[in-house]
Amino acid sequence: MTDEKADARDALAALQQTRNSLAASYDYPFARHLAFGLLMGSFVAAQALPTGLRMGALGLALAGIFLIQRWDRRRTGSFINGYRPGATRKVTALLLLAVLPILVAAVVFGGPERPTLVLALAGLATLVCIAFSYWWQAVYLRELGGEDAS
Amino acid sequence: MSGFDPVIHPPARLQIMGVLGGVSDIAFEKLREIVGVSDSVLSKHLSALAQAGYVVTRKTPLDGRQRTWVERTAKGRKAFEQHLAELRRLAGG
Repeated sequence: MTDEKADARDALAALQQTRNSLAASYDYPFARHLAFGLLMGSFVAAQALPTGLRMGALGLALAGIFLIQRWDRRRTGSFINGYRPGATRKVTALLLLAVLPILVAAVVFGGPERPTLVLALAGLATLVCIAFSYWWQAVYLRELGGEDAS
Repeated sequence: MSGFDPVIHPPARLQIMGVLGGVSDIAFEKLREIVGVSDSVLSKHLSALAQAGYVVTRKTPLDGRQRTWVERTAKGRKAFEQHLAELRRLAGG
């Protein structure tokens, strides 16, 4: 084996070891997945409110995004954007494809006149988002541990 | 054209760029812990990468104190991908 080849292999092995360390430090507890699910569910639940209150509720939900970012940074010393490039982007796109119809259904068939239906759809959106959050995590960790490490 | 990048090639810088590819941003202390170098060594490498336009740092308060956050730029991502491809080519050749 040439020195050049051996050096390149050593560099790639060291890089993988570092990314394994990053993966080992990645810690998203159930509460974090739940917070994401509830945040997304709140966008749907807000459709049960009259227009003025709905705007206020959506504002609070947007503030929740910043609170989750802050929580991540405090807990893990880093933040990982869900829209980041890589294998996880497909999961994010599928998540949006799954949640958007639920939100549209809450707007079209629900609204303030049918709060029970809207809350049921919000519950569904919450569960779907929690499931996607776990899936996203699994794909992310697989990416860190694999060849697609760019 | 070879994608080999002498700015990225030193082992610690390759590791820094690899970690930054896995996150949107990361605290200086956390990056130092993962890469396993001292404050001064990490600062030196980050300066070199910032000078090349591959990373940016910013100071933001968290829990009442200023913390330094590091993130990779689009230029850094492209350079890292090309360097990685070149390393893989060399390792396989």
